Amino acid sequence: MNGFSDVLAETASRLTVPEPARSRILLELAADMGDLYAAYMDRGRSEAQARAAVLEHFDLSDESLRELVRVHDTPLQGMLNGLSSQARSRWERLVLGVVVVGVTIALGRAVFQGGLLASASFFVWPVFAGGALALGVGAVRIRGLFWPGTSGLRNPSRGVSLILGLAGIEVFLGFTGVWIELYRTALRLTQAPGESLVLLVGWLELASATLTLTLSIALATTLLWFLVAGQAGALERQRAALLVKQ
Amino acid sequence: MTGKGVRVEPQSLAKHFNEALILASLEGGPKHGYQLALDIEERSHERFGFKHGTLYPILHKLEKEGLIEGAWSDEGQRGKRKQYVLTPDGSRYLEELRMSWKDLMERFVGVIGEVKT
Repeated sequence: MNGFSDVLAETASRLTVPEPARSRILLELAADMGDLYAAYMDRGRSEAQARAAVLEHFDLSDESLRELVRVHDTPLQGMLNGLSSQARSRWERLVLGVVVVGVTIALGRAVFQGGLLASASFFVWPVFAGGALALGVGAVRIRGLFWPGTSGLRNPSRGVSLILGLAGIEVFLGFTGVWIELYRTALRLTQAPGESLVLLVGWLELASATLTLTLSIALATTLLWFLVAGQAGALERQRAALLVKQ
Repeated sequence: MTGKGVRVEPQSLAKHFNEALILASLEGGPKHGYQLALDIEERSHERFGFKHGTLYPILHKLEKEGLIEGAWSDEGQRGKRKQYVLTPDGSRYLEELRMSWKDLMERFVGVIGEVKT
């Protein structure tokens, strides 16, 4: 399909844009180069002339690629780009390791210390529902991304941001529950001021149980998103690489 | 002026020049990136040419700002293609650019004077 594989491969090596934007840019370049070549051929140019005209039009200088990177970088990516690739990789692995260990410990405690669930607000149930929904969406995406036949998957990134959104909603619900329970505790305090210490300690117990469960579930959801987003990005890179090699 | 209140200044000429050409081309209908470059070249009788290295960062920036919208279509054996279309915000912005450019050119000619035939 594309006689400009060498140019695209060279551009791909210089295009330091985060996925999936990088793969999409390369796909767009490949498609437009092919179509422009066809347009020049239709206008009566020879193959060599058409190719030369396309290469002249698509002169992607370092400055223009840097501009593309600037457009697509997130503020965090811009900061990380200041580090060397080896340092970035080390930091990313270290942060991931810390998060995995933290989440495992927190989740383990939440599950095996049954008292947490009994002490938590009823708002923790919508949080569990959010976690279950995220797990369901994640399971469907993981099946499509990791099992054979994913080459037919039309849009690997579809639904991935929903998982991250659910993590945010879980945190929101947990904190909302804590504040509503505080309000209810305050109402009880006005009716029974003599029991203030008991009521406040009760709220503290409820709040800490609720937030422990909420944040554990939200962290697990975020890890799931990280896993799925990483594989979706890898699949999009593979497709772009296939297109460049054609 | 409405919306962002665009004001073309001498120091922002290149930016607003390119944006105006691209948005005006899209006003004529959805286009692929390479079609934009060819359309601008044709309509300016080859006076204005776009290297795609310049075009893509501008297109992606305009898309990020919501002034144009890019949509992918699956064209079977030809593979995926991306087309850009002008958004309502982009249309308003283009109108502001037209007014600002008209104002700038009138003031510019007011300083340098008309052509002496």
